[in-house]
Amino acid sequence: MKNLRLKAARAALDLSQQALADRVGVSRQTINAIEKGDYNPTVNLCIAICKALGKTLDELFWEE
Amino acid sequence: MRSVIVPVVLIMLVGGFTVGVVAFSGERHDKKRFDERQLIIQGRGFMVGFSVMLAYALAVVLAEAILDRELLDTSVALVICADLGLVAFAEYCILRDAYVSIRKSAAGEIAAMGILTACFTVNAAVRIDDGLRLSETATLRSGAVFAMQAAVCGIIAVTLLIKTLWDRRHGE
Repeated sequence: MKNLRLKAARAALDLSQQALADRVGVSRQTINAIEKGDYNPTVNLCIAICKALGKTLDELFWEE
Repeated sequence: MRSVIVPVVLIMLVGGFTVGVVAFSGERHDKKRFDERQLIIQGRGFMVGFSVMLAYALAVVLAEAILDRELLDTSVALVICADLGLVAFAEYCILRDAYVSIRKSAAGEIAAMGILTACFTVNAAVRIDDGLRLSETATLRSGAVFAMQAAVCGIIAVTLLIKTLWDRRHGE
């Protein structure tokens, strides 16, 4: 399932996938895979992404 | 023949040095080289490479048993086996963006593989008359080894180049 909330949060900060990847310490393709729903990140990576985007885990990764 | 060995060795040394500089320049050893997704894919890639090597070994053994003659001598079989495994691993990782470290650029990696391909090709060309004999059982000499390594590096470099161009065109 696509993670549109992550994409929206990134776009809101005007960050490219590469810029977010650099902040988090992963490759651009990994951010792309998470946004497309092709890869389920570990909790550590989720937390790092949340910190980089100023969001909580619930806001970005919790599925209702 | 001996007169060409010194320049060839020099070419290999220069090529190796260049590859080393390209490969390790800008590398921060206190930081991780691959992210978690890439490490998972590389683990699967090792499994794929190993499976390809096993399948190849099985195919050769079966073919020789069926034909009742030796097709490859041990050295040829081993070099092809290793090369097939390496290519399978590299292709699997390249196609899933897990081959190039997050600290390096794809262009640097392509350049390094291109230089290696050129060095191996030069060596193979110089020693081509000393290479693989296919009349009966395939036996291996140094020229054929270099040709095989050139092919491996060339395949990896071309795949990496195509994947990089594809990603740039179909970017974010």
